[in-house]
Amino acid sequence: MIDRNHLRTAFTAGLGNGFASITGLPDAQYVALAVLSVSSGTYGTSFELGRQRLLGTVLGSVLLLIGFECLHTLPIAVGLAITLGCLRLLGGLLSLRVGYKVGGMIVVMGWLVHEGNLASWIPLRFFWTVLGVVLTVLSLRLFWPARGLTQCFGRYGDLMEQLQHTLIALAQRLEAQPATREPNPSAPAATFRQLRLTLQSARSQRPALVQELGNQPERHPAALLVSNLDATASRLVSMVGGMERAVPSQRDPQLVARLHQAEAELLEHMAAQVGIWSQQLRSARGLPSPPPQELQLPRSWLELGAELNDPVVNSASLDRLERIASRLVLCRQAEQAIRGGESSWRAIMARR
Amino acid sequence: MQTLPERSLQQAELIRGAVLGLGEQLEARPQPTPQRNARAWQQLAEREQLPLLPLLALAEELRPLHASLGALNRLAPGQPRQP
Repeated sequence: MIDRNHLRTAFTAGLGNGFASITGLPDAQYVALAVLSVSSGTYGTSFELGRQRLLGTVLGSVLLLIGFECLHTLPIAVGLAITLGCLRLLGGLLSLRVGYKVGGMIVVMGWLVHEGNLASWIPLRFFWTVLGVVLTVLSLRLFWPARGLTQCFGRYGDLMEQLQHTLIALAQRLEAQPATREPNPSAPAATFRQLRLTLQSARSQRPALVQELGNQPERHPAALLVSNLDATASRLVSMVGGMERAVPSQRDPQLVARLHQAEAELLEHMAAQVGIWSQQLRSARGLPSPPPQELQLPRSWLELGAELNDPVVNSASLDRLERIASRLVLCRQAEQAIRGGESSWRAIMARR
Repeated sequence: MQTLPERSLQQAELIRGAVLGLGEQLEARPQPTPQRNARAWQQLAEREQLPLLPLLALAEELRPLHASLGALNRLAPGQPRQP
């Protein structure tokens, strides 16, 4: 199936070939060859392939000049074999992976076909290769630019913003509860459904992203980061669902006011942090940086252990205590999800 | 649990049962995740004069842990894949 990458490669190769033909210079086919060799779905991969191709070209050219000059008195098979062996050795030292082929082709073609005009053929070939590499790298930004990465992170940014609003709403409900006495359980449930829809919408972007990442996409930092975001978002959405099922009871709220306060403050802190995630994801060009500061837990939440053993708190109704226990565990899982997600995010960005 | 006196274990039968359930999960004898039973935890708290909320929180922690161990078992190498 022809996709955007193939179209871009064909268009760029044609453009390069056309330009080279107009100049009237010989060996114009090397532009199209360079474009075809260096083209990939991503800027980084194309840049790396281009760098290795140029290094291979330089290495092959230098070895051809030296080898041809020094070994042309030997039989061709021996001279070529020694030169190609040196190319393999030096290429290995320079950690070349794809530059061997072009280096070897230069040695063989130069030795066998262009032996009389090496001084003009080598610079010309190098020039066409450079032009091909530059055209390929530019084409990724100019022709049908790849937007899968930006769109995917943008969707997860939207989801994080929705999560931020939901967490704030959950916190406000806890803080306002003693006064209003009548929470509206239907509104947050609708928000939970929206969150699930947004999560599914974000997931639907992944096939396009995987196609854009080229070979072995599962190892690409972008794919790892999206998986990490998805896992964190999924845990937070599940947490919101659990919080909706464990709505605080209306009985004896004054007994557990401090517990609710600690929970509300944690929800507010998490909302603020998730808001920063959203900003980072939406404002990124390329891979987004992790939040500058990790999630800070409020003091009231850190000191909750003593509150759990308070006899006054434990005199509340069983139904209320059961819901509180559920909510506290959900809150703890959510803050672990955020902190774990941030730590993985940092590790992925540090490793790339 | 082997280091605890038998009397303590009998007093905390719910906790003992939950820990044994986790052990079963770890030893690849999967069990369904236990249902919530707040009333039983309340009786334990009243009988032993313990605060109820930490016990309920412990019970809430044990359920996802139980389910996670079961999932780990299903994903362990050599285990038949379930549809």
